[in-house]
Amino acid sequence: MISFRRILIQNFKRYRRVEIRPEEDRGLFVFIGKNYLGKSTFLNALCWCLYDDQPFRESIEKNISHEHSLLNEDAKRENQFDEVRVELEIQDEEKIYLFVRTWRPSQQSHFQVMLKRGKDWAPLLNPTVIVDSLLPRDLREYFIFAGEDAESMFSPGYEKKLKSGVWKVSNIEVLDRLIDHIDIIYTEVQRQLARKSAGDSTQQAVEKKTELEKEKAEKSSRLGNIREEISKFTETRGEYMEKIKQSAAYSEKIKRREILERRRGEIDKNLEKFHQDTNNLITEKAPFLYLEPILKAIRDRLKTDEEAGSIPPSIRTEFIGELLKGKKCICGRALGHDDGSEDALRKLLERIEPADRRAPLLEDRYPIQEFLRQIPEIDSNLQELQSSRATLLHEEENLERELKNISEELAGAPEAEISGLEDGIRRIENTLDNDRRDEALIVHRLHQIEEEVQEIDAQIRKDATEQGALGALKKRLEVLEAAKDSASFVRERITDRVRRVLSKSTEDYFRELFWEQEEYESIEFTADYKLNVKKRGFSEPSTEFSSGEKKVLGIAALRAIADLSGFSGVPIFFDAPLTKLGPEIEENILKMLPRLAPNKQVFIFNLDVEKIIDFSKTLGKGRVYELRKDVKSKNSTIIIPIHA
Amino acid sequence: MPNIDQDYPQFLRADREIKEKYLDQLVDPDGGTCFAGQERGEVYLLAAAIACSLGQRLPSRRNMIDVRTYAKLSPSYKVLIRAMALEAYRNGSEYDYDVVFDGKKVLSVVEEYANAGIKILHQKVFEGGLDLSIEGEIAVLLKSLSGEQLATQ
Repeated sequence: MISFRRILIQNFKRYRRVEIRPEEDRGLFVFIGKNYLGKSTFLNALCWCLYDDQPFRESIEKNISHEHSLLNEDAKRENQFDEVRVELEIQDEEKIYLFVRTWRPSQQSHFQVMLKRGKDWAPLLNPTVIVDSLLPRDLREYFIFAGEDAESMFSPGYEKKLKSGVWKVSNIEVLDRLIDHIDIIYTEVQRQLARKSAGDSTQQAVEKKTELEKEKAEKSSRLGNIREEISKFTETRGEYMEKIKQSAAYSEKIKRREILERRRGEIDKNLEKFHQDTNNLITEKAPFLYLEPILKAIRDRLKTDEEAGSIPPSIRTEFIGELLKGKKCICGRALGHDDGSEDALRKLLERIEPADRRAPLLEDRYPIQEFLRQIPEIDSNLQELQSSRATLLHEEENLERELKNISEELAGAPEAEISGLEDGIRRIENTLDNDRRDEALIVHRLHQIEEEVQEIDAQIRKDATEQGALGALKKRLEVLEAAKDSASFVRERITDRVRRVLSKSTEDYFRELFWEQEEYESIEFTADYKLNVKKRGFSEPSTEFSSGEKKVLGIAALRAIADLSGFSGVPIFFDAPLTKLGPEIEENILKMLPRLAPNKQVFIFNLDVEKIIDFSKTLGKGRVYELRKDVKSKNSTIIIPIHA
Repeated sequence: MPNIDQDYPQFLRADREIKEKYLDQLVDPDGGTCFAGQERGEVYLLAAAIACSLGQRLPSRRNMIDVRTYAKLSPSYKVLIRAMALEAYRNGSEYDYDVVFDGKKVLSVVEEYANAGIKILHQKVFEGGLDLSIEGEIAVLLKSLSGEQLATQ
């Protein structure tokens, strides 16, 4: 059983300094106070110390800003960096622990747990572990709660939350995790088993080996054929080469013949060119050559006629034409009809104009002269062409003669065969290249097949040796299967048992606490944690409850869950149990409170209503405290014991 | 100065039959003659010159066909054509210079020479009617014009 021996709250919000020392390790302790005096703050101080949080909603007093600052306002006025401190001295059986949390503005809070050894306190290394061992944070809501929490225990959608809470406190969650873990191992073993499935693996290996051996046979056969072909072609190539060697004596002559034939081709081409040049020259110049006497005669005649004046220069008619146009004589005198000078000039023009018209013909003398001058050149060109052609023809003649001789000499040579042999050798070498490439590929593949077959054999042998390991895996799988089944079975059993225990405890607590318990036939939780309350005289379960019923059902369930958690010895802190209740129910609740948890400390915080004051009077000395404003500092609360 | 060519017809022409039957065969690129692939107009003028040198003319009998554009001839060829016309109308040692100013008359004369010359040329090349090849004939012609003789011209 756990009990609070001392609670010190210093500079925490409303509390400048309060220290409570419950004298008994069990029973009811009541704290009474008006609004805003820090009842919920007291609980937040406990939670802050143990868990570093403040889950309770605090009433806010105007002009006081404690909710914004942890440090007490009055303390702050004196020293804005003063320390906030909450100390809880808790006894767990024989051990006494001191939980201390401190904080200063602008610093992290510091938490420490010490164990009392004789008169000294020995600090412990893992304070949060100690807290978890006494009251884990997850379970806090079942020990430190408000009247509203109890009442809202069965608000809509409560089943899921309730189930989750119950599973958590009863370690069903742990079982779930265990089952999940077994599942994971089971799946892994199954996977290993599948992978090592000797039957399938060996069968596949044998099938693969059969395929490979078939391929090996095909490739080997192909390799044999290729090698035979290589051998045959190599032999043929040898024969061909021998023949070529025998024919080598003729090769020089064949080469010479090739050179001569090439030269003959060149000569033919040049002859063709000379022929063409000659033809061009003839076609272009021959007309003039044929007409050479005529052209010469015309040239001579033109010359004679020009000298005789029968073909005068055309300037003459042009000059007379100009004089007539200007109506002036060469001497500058004006021409006139009267003296017959114009007529005379006109007659002269008419007479000489036909002759003068021939003047352009005189120009023809120059091309004729030029052509005549070219005749030796044409002759030279033609002779040169003919000479070159003759040279070529001569060379061709010699060449033909030599060719004829060579052809006669080569008459007995197997020249056609040689060229055929050379082509044949080239073809054979191509084929041999391809064959050798194929041979290399097949040899490589056969090597691969050999290696693969060896690997498969090794695999088959390994499979055989793994049969034993496989048996072990199968055994392990069986064990895991059994473990999983057992765990699931246990889980089902525990789940059902927990539900039934919870139902029974809740019903028992409810009957113990509620004032009209005889009206209730049964209270239980269904498999999905739905509250099933049957009242006497009703065939259907009740679905609506009064606020008193809800509050007591909530308290009963909280108590039942707390019992399930295994932390049933932890004190209860119950804030505002009478809130929002009618007078009759208030009274009944008050009557219920002493029965709430008679074997451990129960701390009640409530408004200073008359009923609770009266109720407090029934409690013994040191069990009632009053929260009051500090007369010295109005922003702080003091707690003073009320002696009944 | 008056232009001789100004009233000349546009084309040198030939008898269509002679052109198609003989000239085309002479210049046929695959015909294998020494004129194969040559310019048709040049062979036409050579033929006319040969006929002129032999004094043979052959008027066109049926329809005529254009062989070459006159205006595109070189000045030398034009001189040659005028020479042929002057020769055709020569009276003894007298030339009728006025004939060269009558383009129609000039080209008509050349056409008649060409008709006759094409047939002669064809005969020379294909029938061997003349012993000499055209090439040999030219060589002889050139030989007849000795260097000394030419030097005095």
